[in-house]
Amino acid sequence: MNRQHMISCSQTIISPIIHELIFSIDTSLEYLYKYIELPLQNIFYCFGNISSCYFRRRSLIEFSRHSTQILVQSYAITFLLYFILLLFGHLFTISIQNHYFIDPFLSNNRQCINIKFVRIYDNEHDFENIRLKDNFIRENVIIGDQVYRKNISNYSQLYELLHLLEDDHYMICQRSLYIYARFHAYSSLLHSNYSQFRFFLPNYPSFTIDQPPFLDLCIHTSNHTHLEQIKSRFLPLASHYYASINVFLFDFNFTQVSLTLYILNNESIHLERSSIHTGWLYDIYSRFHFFKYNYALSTVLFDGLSVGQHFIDYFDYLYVPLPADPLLALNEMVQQALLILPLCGLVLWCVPSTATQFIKIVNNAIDKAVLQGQGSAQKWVAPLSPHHIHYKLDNEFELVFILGYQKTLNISYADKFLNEIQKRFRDLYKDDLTIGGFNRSFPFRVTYNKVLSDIEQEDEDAKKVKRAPRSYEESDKKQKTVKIVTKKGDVTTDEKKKKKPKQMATSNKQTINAVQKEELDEEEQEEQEKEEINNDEEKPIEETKDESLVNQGEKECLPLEEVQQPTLTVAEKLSAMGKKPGLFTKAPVTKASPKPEKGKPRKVLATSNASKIDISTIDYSKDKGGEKVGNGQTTITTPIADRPEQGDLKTMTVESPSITSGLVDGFWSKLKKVNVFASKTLTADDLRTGIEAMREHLIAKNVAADVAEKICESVSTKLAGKTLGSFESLTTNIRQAMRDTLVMILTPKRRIDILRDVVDAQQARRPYAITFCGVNGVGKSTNLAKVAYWLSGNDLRVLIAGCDTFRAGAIEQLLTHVRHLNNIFNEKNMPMIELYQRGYGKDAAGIAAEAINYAKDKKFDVVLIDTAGRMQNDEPLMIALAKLIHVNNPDLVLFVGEALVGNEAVDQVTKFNQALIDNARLHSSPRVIDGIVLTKFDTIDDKVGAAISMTYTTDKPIVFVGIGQKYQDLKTLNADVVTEALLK
Amino acid sequence: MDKNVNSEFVDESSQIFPLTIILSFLVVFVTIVILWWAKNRHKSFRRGECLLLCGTSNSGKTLLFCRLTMGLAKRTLTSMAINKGSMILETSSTDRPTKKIHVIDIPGNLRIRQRDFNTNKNSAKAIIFVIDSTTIKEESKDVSDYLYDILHEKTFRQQRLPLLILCNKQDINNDNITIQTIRNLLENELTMKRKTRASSVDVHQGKTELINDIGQLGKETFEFSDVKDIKVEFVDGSALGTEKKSFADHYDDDDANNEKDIDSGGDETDADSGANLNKVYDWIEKIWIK
Repeated sequence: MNRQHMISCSQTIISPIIHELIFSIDTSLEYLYKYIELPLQNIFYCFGNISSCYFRRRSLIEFSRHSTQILVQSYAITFLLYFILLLFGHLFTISIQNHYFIDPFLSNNRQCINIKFVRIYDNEHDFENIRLKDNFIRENVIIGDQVYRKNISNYSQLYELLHLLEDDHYMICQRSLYIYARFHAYSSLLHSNYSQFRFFLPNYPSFTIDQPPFLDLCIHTSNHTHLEQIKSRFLPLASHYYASINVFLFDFNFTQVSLTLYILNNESIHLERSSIHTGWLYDIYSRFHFFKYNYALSTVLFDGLSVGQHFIDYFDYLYVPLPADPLLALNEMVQQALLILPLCGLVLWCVPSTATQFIKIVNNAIDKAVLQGQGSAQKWVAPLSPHHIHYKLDNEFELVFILGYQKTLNISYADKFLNEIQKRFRDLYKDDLTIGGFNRSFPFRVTYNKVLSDIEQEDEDAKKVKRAPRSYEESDKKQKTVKIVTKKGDVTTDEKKKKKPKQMATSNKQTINAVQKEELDEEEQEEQEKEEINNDEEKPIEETKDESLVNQGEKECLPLEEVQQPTLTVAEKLSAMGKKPGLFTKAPVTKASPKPEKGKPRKVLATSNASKIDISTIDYSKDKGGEKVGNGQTTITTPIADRPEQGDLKTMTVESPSITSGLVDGFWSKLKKVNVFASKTLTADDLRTGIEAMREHLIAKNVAADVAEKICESVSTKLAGKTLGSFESLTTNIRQAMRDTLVMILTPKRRIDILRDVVDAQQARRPYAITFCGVNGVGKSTNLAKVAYWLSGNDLRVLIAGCDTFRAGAIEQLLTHVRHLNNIFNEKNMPMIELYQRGYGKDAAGIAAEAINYAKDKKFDVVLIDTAGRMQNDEPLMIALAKLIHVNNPDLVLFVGEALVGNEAVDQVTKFNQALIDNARLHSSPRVIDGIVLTKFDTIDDKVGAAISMTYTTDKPIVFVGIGQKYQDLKTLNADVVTEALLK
Repeated sequence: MDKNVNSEFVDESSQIFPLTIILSFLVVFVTIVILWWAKNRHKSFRRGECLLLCGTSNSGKTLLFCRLTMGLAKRTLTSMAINKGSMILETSSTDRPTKKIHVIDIPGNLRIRQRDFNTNKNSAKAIIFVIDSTTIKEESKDVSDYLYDILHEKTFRQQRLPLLILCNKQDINNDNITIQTIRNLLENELTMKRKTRASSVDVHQGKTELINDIGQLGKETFEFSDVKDIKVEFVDGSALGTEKKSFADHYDDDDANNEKDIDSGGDETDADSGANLNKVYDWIEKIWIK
C-alpha cells in the first residue's frame, strides 16, 4: 500500500521535473545554436572567402562547420552534465539535511499540511476573505479526489465516514498540522508507546513524524444529540486507525471560551490528557477572547492566515503579548565560573570577571585533558585540586566551553548548562565567530544569567514534582545534591549579581511559596559559604555540540525513527525536494545554517529535559485548569506567560529528531563520501561508520582494544560539528584527524634529552642514573647495552649495575656486553664501561645504591641499573622494584616493553606504574615511569599498535626503540612513521 | 589536415558524437580540477609573507598576537590551535600606504607545536621568538631546545629570515634579568645543545640530515653573533601593558561597563602599546618597510 502510494507520489513529482529538464535543455541548445554556432560559422566563412583556392576554401568551411558543431555540442553536453551533477548535489544535500519538518510557526515555507474537511455552505458571503474561501475549496478538492481515496484504502472507511458527517450539518475540521506540531511535545508523554507514523498526502511529500498522529477533530454542532451520534459512530471506527483520537466537541452556541473548555473537559475521550488539551486550547483561545464562530474558524482552525503574513505576527496578535524572551522571567540561582574560549587561546568571555586565579589550573587542564584528547569525557577532575571541570568543544567555531566548580557541589546539570550556554553563545555571536572577530567584547552576562536561571528552574521543578526524575539519573548525580548546588552556586555570585537574581525571583510569578522558602534558606547559607567559593576553577574537556545533540535526541526518539529510514526511497527524497526547492534556492549554504541553529538552543534544552518539562507542564496546566474554573477569565494572564515558552520548546523537539536523523542508512549514504557541492556539517551519525572502521583498523594494527576505542571516541568528538567543505571527503577528514591525534599522542609532552641532563649531573658531581625495568624477556639487558654503547660513544663513562640477582646468567650476560663494548671503545687507557656486580641472591636495591656510590667515587658519568624481569602481577617482586627505585631515586626510570604485545601492553605498563605508586614510601612523591623503551620494533612490520597503547596509557614518551640485534640498533621513535604505519 | 576534414565530412554522424562526448567530459574534468586547485591554493596561507610568533608555552605569544592584530590585551589561556590574523602597519611616511602583515601564532605546547610549526614554517617572512623573562632560568633548556630547532631549520636558513627574540614580561620582571643575561644564558645552553644534538640517537626511519651546525663551525662556544644566515636580534618588552585593569573591564560585561569598554578599549590600549612594544614594532617596520 505504502509502496504504491510512494510510487505514484514519485511519478507525479518526477515526471514534471523531467519534462522541465528536457525543455530547458532544448531551449538552451537552440540558444547555443543561434548565438554561438551561427556567428562562429559566419566568421569561418569569412575566412574562407578570403582564401583564394576554391578547394581549400570549401574544406575550410566544412571544417569550420564541424568544429563549431563539435564545440557547441560539447558545451551543451557539458551543460547537461553539470546540471546532472548539480542535481545530484542537491539530492545529496537533501539526504543529509533532511528537514522533514520545519516549524510552521517560524517558517515562511508553510511546510505544514492542512487537511481540511470543510463544508462550504451556500452563503459564501460568510467569508469575508476571498482567499480563504479559495483555500477551502481547494482543500475540498483533495477530499473529492478518487485516486487519493483509492491509494489510501486503509483510511477510506474513515473518510467515508467523514463525508457522511459532512453531509450532515456538521462542520468537521482536522486541525492543521502546525497546531499539531506545536503540541507535539506533549505527545511524547501521550504516545510514548508508539513509534513513528507517516502521513501520505497526494500533494505533499511523504511526511514523517515520530509519533502516531492523534487525530484531532473539531466538530462543531449546535445540537447535543448530534454530538452523541457522532461520537458513537465515529469513535470506534477512527480509533481503529489512529493511535489516539482527541475529539474536541464544540458547541456553537457557546461562544465563550470558558464554556467551551468546560465541555471539552467532559467530552474528551482520554480524560487523563484533558488537562493538556485544556491547556492547549486555553492557550489558543485565550488569544482570541473575541472568539466568534467564523473568525475563530478562519484563524485558528483553518490556518487562515492570508498569504505572506508571517506566523510570528499571528502570535503577536495577542491581547496578552508574549515576553520577548520568556526566559527573562525566570530567576537565577547558581553562579559558577564559566569561560568561553576559542581553540586559539583567547578568552572570549568569562565569569566571574576576576577569574584570573584559575588560569593556571585551567592551563594545566587544557594541557592534560584537551590536548591529549583522552577519550571523549567531558569532565576532568584535577587530582590534587578540589574542583570539577566540565568542558565542551565546539568544533564548528573552534570554541571550548569550560565550567569549573567545587567538587563538593556535584552539580547535576553541568552538561545541560554547558550545552545551553554553548547554543546561546553561538547564536549570539555567530557572525563574529565566523569571521574570527575575536577582538570585541562579548557581553554575555544577561544570557548567561538567563540560562542559568532557566536550568535552575527546571531543577526546581523536577524537585517539586516528586516523580522519577529521569534526566537526573541520566547524568548520574544524586538528587539530594541539588539543593547544595544551588546554595553553593549563589555563593559564588558576587554581591551585585546576587541582588539581581533575587529581584527576578521574587517578581517571578511562577515561584511558589515553597520555592521562596527554599531561597530564603539558601540565602542564609550563602553567607556562611561565601568564603569557600573563591576557588572556583575551570578546566576544559572536549565534546561537540552536535554529538551531544544527536545523542540526546537519539536517546529519546531516534531509534524508532531510524528503523523506518531505510524505507524512504529515492522517490520520496525526490518528492521531498520537489516540495522544498524554495528552501534550497532561497537559502544557500550560509543562509541555511543559521536557520537550524536558531532552533538549536531550545531544542537541546527541550530534548534533554523533555521528560522533566512534561511533568512540570502537566502540573501547571492542572493548576491552571483549577484556577480558571474558579476564577473565571481574569486568571488567564498568569499561565499564559509561561505556557507559550514551554510550548515553543516542545515544538522544536519535533524538529530535532527529524533533522538529526537524516537518511543515514538510505541509498545516498554511499554518495556521502564524496562531498562535491554541498558543504556539510558532520554529525556523530555520519562519523560512526568511518570511525568504526578506523577502530577495527587500529585493533588490527595491534592497538589495545580499549585504547583504540578511546582514541576513536576522541577523534569523533573532535570531528563532529565540523563543516565539510566541497571536495573534501569524510574519509580523508577522519584520517587526518586520526593522524593528528596519533602524532599528538606519540609526541612527548616533556623534553627528554639524556645527554643534556647528564651534563647537569656532571656539574653537580654525581652520576646520572637510569633504571631499566620490565617483564621477563623483553630485552632489558640488550637494550641497556645499546644505551651504554651510545653513551660511551659520546665520551661518557658508564657503569652498569647488575641488579638482576635472580636469573641465572644475567650477570655473565652483562659481563660479556661490557667486554665487547670495551673492545670497541678501547682508545682510552681507562675502561669506558664497567660492570658493578655483587653476585646473585642479594638485595637489588642495595646493590644499586652501592653502584651509584661507586660511580660517584670513580667519576662515572652514567649508571645504568639493570633489574630482574618480573611479571606485572608478581606482588613481592614489584614491591622490591618499587623499593629499588625509591631508595635510589634514579634520574630516569625506563620501562622496557616489547612491541609484540597487544592488549597486554596496557596491563603491563599500568601495573608497573601502579606498583611504583602504591609502594612508594610515605611522605615522598611517588616516582613513576619516565619513559618507555620499545624493543623488537623490527619484528612487527606495521603492527606498531603497542607504541600507541603504551604512550596513551602512561602518557610517557617512547625514549628509544630497539630495532635490531646490534649495538647500533637503537633509535628514537619517529612519530610520523609510526602514524603512517598505523593508518596504512 | 585536409584529409582529416574530408573524412569527417564523409562520415559525419559517427565521428562527431564521440568526439563531442570526450570533449565535454574533458571540459567537466578540467573545470573540476581547476576548482579543486583553486580551493587548495586558497588553503595555503600566504607563502613567505607572514610573521610567525613562536615560543614555549605560557610565554605570551597569544597576548602579543592580540596586541599586534587587535591592539587589545585579552586574557589568554593555553592555545590549542594556531591563531591567524593580520596587523596593519602604519607607516610614518605619507607616500606609502599602510601595510597589512599576516601574523601566525603557533601554540607552544610541546605536543602540537611541532605539527603547527612544520605546516606554517613556509609562510614565514620573519619570526618573533617570545621568551618569558621571569621563568627563563628554569626553562632555559626547553627554550633553547625550541630556539635550536628554529635556528637549525633549513628553510629559515636558506631564506635568511630575520629572527627577533623578544624577552617578554619585562613589566613583572623583578629579578633584573636583562637582555644580556638572557642572551648569555641561551648561548650557554645552545653551546651544550649543539654538542648533544649532534650525538643524539638517530630517528628511526628518519632522514639523515646534513649536520649543519648552527653557529660558527669549529668554535667551541655558540654565540648569536656567529649565526650568519639568520639575523638574530634581541629586544625586551612586554605584551601586557601597564593597564592590567583593562582585563577586568573587558570581561565584566555588565551593561554599564560594556559601553565604556567599547568606547575606551581602542584608545587605551593603543596608547599603551606604544611604550611596551615599541621595539617590536620598530623591528617589524624595518623588515616590511625597508
